[in-house]
Amino acid sequence: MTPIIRFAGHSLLCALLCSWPSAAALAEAYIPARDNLVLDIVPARKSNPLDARIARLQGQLAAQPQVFARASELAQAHLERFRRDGDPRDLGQADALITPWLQTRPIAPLALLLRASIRQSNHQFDLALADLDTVMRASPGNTEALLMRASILQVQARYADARESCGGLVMQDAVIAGVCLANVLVVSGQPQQGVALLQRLAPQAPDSHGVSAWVWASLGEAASWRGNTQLAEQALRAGRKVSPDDAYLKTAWADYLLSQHRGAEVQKLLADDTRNDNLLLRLAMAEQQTRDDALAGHIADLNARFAAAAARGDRVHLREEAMFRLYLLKQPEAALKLAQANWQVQKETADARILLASARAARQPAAASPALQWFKQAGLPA
Amino acid sequence: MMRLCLLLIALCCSAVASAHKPSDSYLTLVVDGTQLHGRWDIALRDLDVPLVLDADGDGKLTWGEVRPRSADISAYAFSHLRLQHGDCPLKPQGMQIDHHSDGAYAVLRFDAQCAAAPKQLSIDYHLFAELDTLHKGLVQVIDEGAIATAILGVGHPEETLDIHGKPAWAIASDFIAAGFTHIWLGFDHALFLLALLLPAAYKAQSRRWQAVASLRPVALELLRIVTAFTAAHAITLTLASLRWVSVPSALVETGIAVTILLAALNNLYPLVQQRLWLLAFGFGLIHGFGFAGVLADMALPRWHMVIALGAFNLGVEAGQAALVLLLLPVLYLYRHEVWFKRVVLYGGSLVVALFACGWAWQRAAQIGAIT
Repeated sequence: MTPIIRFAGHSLLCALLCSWPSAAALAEAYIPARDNLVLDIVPARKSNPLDARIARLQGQLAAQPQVFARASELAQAHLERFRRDGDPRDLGQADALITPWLQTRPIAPLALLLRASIRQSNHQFDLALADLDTVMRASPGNTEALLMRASILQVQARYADARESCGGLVMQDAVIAGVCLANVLVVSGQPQQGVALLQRLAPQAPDSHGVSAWVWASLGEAASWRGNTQLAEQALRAGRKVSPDDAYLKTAWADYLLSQHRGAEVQKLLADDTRNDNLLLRLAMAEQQTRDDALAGHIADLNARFAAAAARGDRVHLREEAMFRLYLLKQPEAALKLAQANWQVQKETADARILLASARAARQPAAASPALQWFKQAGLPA
Repeated sequence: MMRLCLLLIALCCSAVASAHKPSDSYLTLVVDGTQLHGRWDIALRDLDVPLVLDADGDGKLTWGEVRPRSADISAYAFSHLRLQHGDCPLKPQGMQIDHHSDGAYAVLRFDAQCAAAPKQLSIDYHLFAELDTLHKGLVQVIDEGAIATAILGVGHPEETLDIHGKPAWAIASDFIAAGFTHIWLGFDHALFLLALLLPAAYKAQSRRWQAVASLRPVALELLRIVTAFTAAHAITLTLASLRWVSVPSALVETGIAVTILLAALNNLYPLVQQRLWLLAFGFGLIHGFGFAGVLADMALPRWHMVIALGAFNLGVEAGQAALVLLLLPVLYLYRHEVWFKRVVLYGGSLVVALFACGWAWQRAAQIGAIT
């Protein structure tokens, strides 16, 4: 009898001990004891130039609420910060700024362009395209509309239409048109030509307004997909030098390092980016590679954030949730369902990757065929 | 070139989308007759936009910056919420802080006094409507254990929720039924009891089971086992339901599978020969955590929880009693038959052990995946 009683005792003891950390995590609301306790980090309007600009524009808008230019400048600054931080609050704030101006007639093309950009970021691709069509009817050959249209069509795997849109840009800006076209080539059967074109254009791209960062990121990713790690690393490093805070470049650089099993470098890169879900996901994947103790806590954080997103009815983060389920929770069936739903919305290389990986892990070869088909047509190794 | 930045935002945005959790607030209302008790969690990061809480602009929001602004925060928030078209005026009850997965939140507690006990509750929600179109309010109205929810925001700022109040006897009968069915439908608890009860008509002698002579010890043994199991799981069920102790569910589920396995193995090769009730008690503690999942998530008001706990335990006990009444005659009548002993005691235990083995494996793998 004793061994079994002892086992039961051990089980209970273990159960009680294990309850401590989770009991602590369920902490109740409280009144902080010290005034100098830092509760949260918010945009630093004193020290950060972009945050300062947003604070200044907010003041100017409050003084001139009836002037569209004040609202549109602030909305653009919010979109710029969204690109830097990836915080959807900036999207919602930009949207709230232009909403009143969409009621006026005629609608300013810029207001529609801004709404299209917001809708694109919320993966409402068809609504965004509708806005862009309205813009182009009013001002045919609008540069911004053509470029945004090309990028949406590319995400939807409508490559012929995307190429056509890029072509429309040639008269306005040859470099931008070339990069636009190269990006389409990379995923539509001519990756070698696409990479060569990007390599040629990268040194010509102006440093200002993130053009250069965009070209280096495109080149880095394309090279990495083709298996040219040396070029990929070179390009991503060059981009990081130009825009060290750019969230897109940071994600691309982290993905590259993870593919090279350089988890320790990713941990160093992303230590302060746990607020950003995409980067937290990469950080956790890095901790998985290095078997870091922080992994369990970060998985719990990600779980909580995906649950919170589901509670508000969001379906924007399907790709990341599929990666989370597959790589960190090892739930291939659940990951496959998400990856399939995501594939209905967007068809970029990363979307094909996660669809293929989760189909393989779930041992459902038939589910992998759309991804394999895509890789074949793109001319990229699966 | 000035507008080019817009282009590039557009180009790379799709991959950046939803990198953060968007802005949400969490509003919970507990109905208590004509009174409503509310808790409203709003992200400090969101409040910083209209109220500029970060006084020195250094990006670090301290308690010293937030505390003096609690009246402003309260005034701002409650001017954007109306209940029952203003017929239930809101009385703020102070501000605390809590930490959600995405940062610190102001926790605003409030009461609302309605003219009459609401049958339906209309909620009019406009927080941050003019500042952030993606903001949403996740609303939960709790009344006597029934929960109604709504997601409100710019496109859908108002909703009227049905409130389903229930008297105490109705709660009790609901939970008795829940406890009863939990034993019969919760396959693993039934299987564990079965494994414990199968050798009840036998006595272990030198690692083998011998049939007992009379009914009395059989009935007494069953009574002891079931009572010990009930007492044990009532203890842990209460602890866990009241959230005094919480155990990760994957661990509990694995623990339950292991208890079933050990009980079944003991039938095949009796190590524990006497005082099986002690075993039932020890393992019952683990099973109690398993039952608690049903209750702990319901966020019942305290006295409802007490009724629910009592009723649920009664229901579980009744479910077990029914199982015993079904088994007892069969076990007693056939105890001398050699085939019965082979097929039911040994064969049955073997099947149970195999099941439990599979579960233990599967559930332990979940623990491995999580940690």
